[in-house]
Amino acid sequence: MELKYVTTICPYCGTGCGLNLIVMDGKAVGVAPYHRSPVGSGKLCTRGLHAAAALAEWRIEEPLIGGQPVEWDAAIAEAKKIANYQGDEIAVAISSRLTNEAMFLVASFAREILGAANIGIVYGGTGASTAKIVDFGKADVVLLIGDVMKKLPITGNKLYHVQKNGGKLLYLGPQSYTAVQADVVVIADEYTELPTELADAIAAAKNPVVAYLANDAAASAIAARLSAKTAILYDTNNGRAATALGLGSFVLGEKTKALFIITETPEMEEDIYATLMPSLANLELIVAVASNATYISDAATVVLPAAASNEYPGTVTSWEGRVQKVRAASAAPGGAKCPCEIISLLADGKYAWEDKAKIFADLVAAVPAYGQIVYEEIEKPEGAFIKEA
Amino acid sequence: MTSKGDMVYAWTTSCDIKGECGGAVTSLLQHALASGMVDGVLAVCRGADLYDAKLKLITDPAEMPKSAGSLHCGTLLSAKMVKKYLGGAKEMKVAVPVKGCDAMAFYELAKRQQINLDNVILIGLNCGGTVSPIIAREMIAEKYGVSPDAVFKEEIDKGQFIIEYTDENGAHQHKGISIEKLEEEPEGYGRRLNCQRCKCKVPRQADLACGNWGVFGEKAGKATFVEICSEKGAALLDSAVSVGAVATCVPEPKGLEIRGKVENAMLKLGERYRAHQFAELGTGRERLEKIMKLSSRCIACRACIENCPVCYCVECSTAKPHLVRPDQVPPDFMFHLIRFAHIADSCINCGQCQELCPMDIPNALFMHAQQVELEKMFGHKPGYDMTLPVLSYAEEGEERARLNATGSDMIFDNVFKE
Repeated sequence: MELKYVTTICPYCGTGCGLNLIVMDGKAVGVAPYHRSPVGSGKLCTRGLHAAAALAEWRIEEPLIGGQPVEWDAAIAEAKKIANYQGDEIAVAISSRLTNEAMFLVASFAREILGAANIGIVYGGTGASTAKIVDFGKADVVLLIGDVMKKLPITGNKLYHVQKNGGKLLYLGPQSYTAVQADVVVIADEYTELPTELADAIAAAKNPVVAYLANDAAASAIAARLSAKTAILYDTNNGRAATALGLGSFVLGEKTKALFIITETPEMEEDIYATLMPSLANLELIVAVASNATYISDAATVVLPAAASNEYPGTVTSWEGRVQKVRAASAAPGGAKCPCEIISLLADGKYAWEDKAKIFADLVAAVPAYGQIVYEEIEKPEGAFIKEA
Repeated sequence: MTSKGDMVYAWTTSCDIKGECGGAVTSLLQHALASGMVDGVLAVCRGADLYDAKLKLITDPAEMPKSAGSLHCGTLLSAKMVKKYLGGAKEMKVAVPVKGCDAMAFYELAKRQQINLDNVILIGLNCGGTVSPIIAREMIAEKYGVSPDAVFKEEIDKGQFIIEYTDENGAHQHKGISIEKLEEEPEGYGRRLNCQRCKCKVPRQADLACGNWGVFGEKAGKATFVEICSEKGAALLDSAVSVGAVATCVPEPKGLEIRGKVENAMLKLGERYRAHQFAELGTGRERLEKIMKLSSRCIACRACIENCPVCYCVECSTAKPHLVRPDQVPPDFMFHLIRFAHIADSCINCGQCQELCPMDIPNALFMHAQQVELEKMFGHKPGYDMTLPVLSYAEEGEERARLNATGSDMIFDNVFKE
């Protein structure tokens, strides 16, 4: 019998909490706190506590064409037919939960091989934070727009430190959990301007920070007019990398005939594809690289089964730009492959996939924000930070 | 031959084991495994650095030396791991190194029939308290002026938190600061708050209680003080001595005296911290209001329940919709009342419901404060033996008559009002 801990990063929100997956005889069976995490000190919310279950539910174990199991060769051949379409007929929807390396390979494949005009990220956001999580402890005033403490609980935890240090939490947004915790609250279901009382408090503060969700455009517009550090909170564990890679939110264009989509979706979060559903029937070809069965994989022409978070190694970038290691805790089930390998197969081996350090080096060369990072530094529990100009 | 109550100095005879204080604990665990007394050791191993402790089930005796050395930042809930992942040791025999809180957790789960203690060898480790890794690193940087990455050893000794580190010139240095001083200051450095309140410093409910307190004279730093606390512990030590895995000698009388003094000093300190921390909670209605206010931060993530070494129910009452409305954040106060009602009498003050709470609710303080009151009322002392908790104690007729006589049906006013 084997029982050990594998330290990795939570696959859910963009806070980047470290956790230990409990691995028994090669299977992730539970989660133990990773007290050494510089982000959460072992604290996890309900999603992190169930990170092992994210690997277990409704897994796809073999390639499918039209819902029928096939060999990998046949599935890859079928999937490659997407290259027969014109660039402006192809849309590529990338998951904001892929590792930095896998996301970079998919984006490279979409741009270089498919020449796709429409490449985007599902459930991502925009913006690069100028604040880090430790800055909350130094802030005297933090403006929270929207229910940020509930969406990213361990980031929310750090906001209590503001109050503990004598600082104030301001809140603008609908009635919510965060509203209950804040000191000065303005309830508004929609917001375009910052109410005077909040604006005055920010103006009077020495070290103000404004925190909001990366997909909240109204909040972003308000924050842009303030002289305060920004904490732009991504709801997914690697949405921040998508922004660094220049990937905007995915919208299925009218010209699209063929869709290449990565659905690396932990349990509990299937709804992120809801807006895509009505349009799927109009498409001629859907190639889904999927770890778990979703209604996207049900609708796909070809399904290429992929390893999920924490089944293949790599790195992820948290909302604060902290790059941390994710480690393979268990093998992907059945015939599922690392998403990097799937891209390599589709690209006839143009991209090497096994050596993740090599992919990261290519990413560093292509994306200046990652340029400062020494790969070995990421191995440390503190990780390494990207630097956006 | 040794027997329960005996005390010895012990050290390893293996040159592979580079353990703390003579490596006796590692050697004893290795011997338990090699001799077939156990099928596995749930060992504490170093992870990324000395601030990172991880559990690993070791089944090959040759692997045991890897687990050597103390890691004072860890708190690992080993009892819950044995319950959840090793089938409660019902089908396998396992040896586990345990701090006081871990040992207490084993008893609480055992009395709830979640762990079979007959199949478990508990090697107790004296513990003056643990420090949360991130706090330890911050404290070392801020208060010691030393890079936490340069530290290669840390310990709590003679009332100080002592670090050994390599300076810029490559020389070994050490530096100690009084624990009390660190803990008095406003930054909140020092040991975990529950460790500050702890009064289980020498875990005598384990089979052996091991540590460096009382190792005096020429063996200082080279041997472990072992107190034999059960016949099972005696059998393990005797067997390890008989095959030459560990060597022992009689402790110095002066060492015994020192050990007693150290333990007493720690207990007194624990008592002082209890008085101080519980006083801050207030009493009566004020305490209740404080608990209600702070627990209104709850997001019902259930981390407190998941990590509690006493909780084990398959169907938790907090998840029953007629008791706590589902999907309410913060949840009804009943969520917390259920936890208090179900386990406060058995709280072993491991502190994890607080340390792992995403919203920093001082759950362990609330729970522990109630436990000490319940202990005064009903005499149940959790974590020390197999005595069952008093689940409820009321002479119903008498109690109803008393409430009736007050003319009010307000339970709070009748029961809790001073």
